[in-house]
Amino acid sequence: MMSLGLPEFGSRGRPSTTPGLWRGLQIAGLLVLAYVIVIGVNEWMVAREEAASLDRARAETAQTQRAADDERRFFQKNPDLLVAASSVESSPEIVWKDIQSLTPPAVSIVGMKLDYLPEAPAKVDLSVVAANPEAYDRFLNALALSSLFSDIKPGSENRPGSVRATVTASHRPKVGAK
Amino acid sequence: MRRALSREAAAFVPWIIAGFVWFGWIGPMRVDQADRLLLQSQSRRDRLKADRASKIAATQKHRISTTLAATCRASADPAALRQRAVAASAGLPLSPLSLSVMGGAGGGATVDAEGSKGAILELLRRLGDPAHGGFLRTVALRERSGRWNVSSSTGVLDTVPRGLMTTVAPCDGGSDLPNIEPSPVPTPAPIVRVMRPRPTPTPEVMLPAPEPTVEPPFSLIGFLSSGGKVRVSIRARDQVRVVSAGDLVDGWRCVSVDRDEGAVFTAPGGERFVLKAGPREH
Repeated sequence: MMSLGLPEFGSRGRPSTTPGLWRGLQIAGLLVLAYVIVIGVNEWMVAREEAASLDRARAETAQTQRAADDERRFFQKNPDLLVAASSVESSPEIVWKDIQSLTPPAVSIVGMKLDYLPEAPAKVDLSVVAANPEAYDRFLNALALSSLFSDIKPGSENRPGSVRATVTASHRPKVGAK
Repeated sequence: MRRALSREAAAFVPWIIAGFVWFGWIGPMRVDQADRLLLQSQSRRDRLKADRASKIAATQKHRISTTLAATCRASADPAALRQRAVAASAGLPLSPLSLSVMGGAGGGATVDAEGSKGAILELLRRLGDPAHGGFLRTVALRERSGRWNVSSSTGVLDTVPRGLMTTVAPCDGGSDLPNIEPSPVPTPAPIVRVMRPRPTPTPEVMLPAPEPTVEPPFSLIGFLSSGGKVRVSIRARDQVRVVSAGDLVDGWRCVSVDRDEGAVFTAPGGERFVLKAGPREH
């Protein structure tokens, strides 16, 4: 049919074929909205629980940290207690015995210095005389392998012939040693 | 037309609202969730750090309460420090022995001695024995032609804070000097002068029955003065004690202490004795 480019004022126009589409779109929108709301409520509840849990955890952490800080300050105010404990755990007699248990026959300890510090194990400075370099090396190896000493730092040594040397280490007392 | 528009609008409204809900509520909530995860991670790290610090503190407390279980509170008074160091060397073949003391907070003694290895280790054991209120700060041992010399600085546990251990008693029930075990080496007898009231000359016929002489169960070591107060150091039953006026020793009460006049004691029976340094005199 030819319309000649004029509007058809008299006609009723094309009958609408999309109410079902709009309705479907509306229903889908409502479903999506319901889904979004459910998701949102669910996430909000989880977030609220997590926030409360985080607050609780932070409060507990703060409490533990405060207690630990108090303890640390207590020991900072009373360093002699730690020094005294260290001097009992690593008494000269115990350290001497531990050293002797590691000393090969050709090595002798001619000097020992002990420093008891508040926040560290007893520091031991040894003056060693060895009949030969091999004996001194054996002594150092035994010291390094021993669980009774750590932080071993060999100091100056005079060779050849008999070796005179100094060694620094930290004494690690056995658990329960008095 | 309006009807069609309203139908289209009604179809889009749920979508628009859902968009607002998603981007206006759930989106920011998810951003917060990411922030919260970071906070949780930080909180876990803080918790680990706090737990570690707490564990270290607990270990230190346990160490102290175990190793210093037998400790006692000793006096940081210089005279008492000196007496303690002297008593620790009693009976040990040490020569020479030099000693200097420093009282007050953080005080202690510095002891230099020479002797056999056994004697030196025993001296250190006694000086560092917490059961006598002392501990070691530094020790330097050196062997020279078979003899050992030691230089040691000691500290004193004059206060033990509350909460760490149960009540810590003063050493030796008030006198904080160590109870030195009987030594195999005979110690020179202390110079003790005992003065008793002289009997007044009376006619022989009126002479009363002789009173039983009561010897004091202790002997004089020396006089100590600190802070303007003079005290007397005595050896009673192998214990060295520092006594001031008013103190009771085995039933004997110290009445007065004076360097020149001596230490006056009254026996349980009322007899009066004066301990003075110098040759024994009756």
